[in-house]
Amino acid sequence: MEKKINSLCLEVLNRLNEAGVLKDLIVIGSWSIYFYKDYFKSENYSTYIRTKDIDFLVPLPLKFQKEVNLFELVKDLGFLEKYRGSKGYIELEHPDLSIEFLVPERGRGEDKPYSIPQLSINAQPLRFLDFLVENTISINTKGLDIRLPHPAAYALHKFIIFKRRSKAEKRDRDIEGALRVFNELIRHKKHSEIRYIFKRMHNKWQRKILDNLKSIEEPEIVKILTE
Amino acid sequence: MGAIKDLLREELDNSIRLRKDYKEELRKRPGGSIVAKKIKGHKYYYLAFRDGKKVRFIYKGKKISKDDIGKLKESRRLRAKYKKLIQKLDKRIKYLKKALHGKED
Repeated sequence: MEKKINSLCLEVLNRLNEAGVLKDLIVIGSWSIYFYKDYFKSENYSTYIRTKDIDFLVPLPLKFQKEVNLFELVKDLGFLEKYRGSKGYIELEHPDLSIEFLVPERGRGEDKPYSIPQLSINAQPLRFLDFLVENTISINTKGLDIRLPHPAAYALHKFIIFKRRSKAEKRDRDIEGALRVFNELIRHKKHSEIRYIFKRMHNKWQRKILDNLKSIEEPEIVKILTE
Repeated sequence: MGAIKDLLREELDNSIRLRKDYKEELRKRPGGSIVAKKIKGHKYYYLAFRDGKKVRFIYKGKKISKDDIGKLKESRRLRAKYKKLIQKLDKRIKYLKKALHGKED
């Protein structure tokens, strides 16, 4: 089952790459945890993920050179184009994989989708995503170059947003994934990279992370960040 | 246990919704094949498809374009794909219902 989902995900990435748009997208969310295997290259690192949603972050301003209809690109794989709720965010759905698109929310924020006509999609604006855009890495898997948030940025971002989750299950999943990635960074002695990314964050966000970590009793991580 | 049940319930709801969406897509897309009928020396093209126990014919014209044939082929490919995915969802729904309604330890 997991193997099938992974191959479907790779097929989608492959098509995005061939269409020339993958380089302008960042894979965020739990699938990043899976792809960090090619960053850590460690046998002990667990790639297990509990979601079938793959989230693509679209950095702003948009840089797409040509127009590509993303739904048409994956339609023959069995994906359906759905509009989520009354807000109109586009989601490409398949029993094994759901593709969603996000953009960084700026200013006061509006509860409206962000239209990306170059890709024929509407993306969902969300807070704190600019931070991920500013801290990315590129990994190569099966011949594909995939942009991901730096693992430290991924973990720190989750340490901010888990408190905003209304569902306990999603909150627990955020915390578990962030701790797994963070602990792997520590195992690889990436303390200075973690601190460098943390110190570049807005003071208010740093405080929020430290408070959130204290609330889940992670004094060791607080210590690493504040050393 | 509550969190796992919530997760299973969410997956069940999503699977039921997605199965409904695939069925809706099937209804929207024509199946069948293009057949030519020769009447009084002239060829007339029809779309032949099964509707329950009956085979129905919809008149398409004296000529049929390559574009129409291409569209029908794509539609048939998608219908086959959707049918396969509906079967997959049926199995998943059955499994999830069983898991949700099974006895707790």
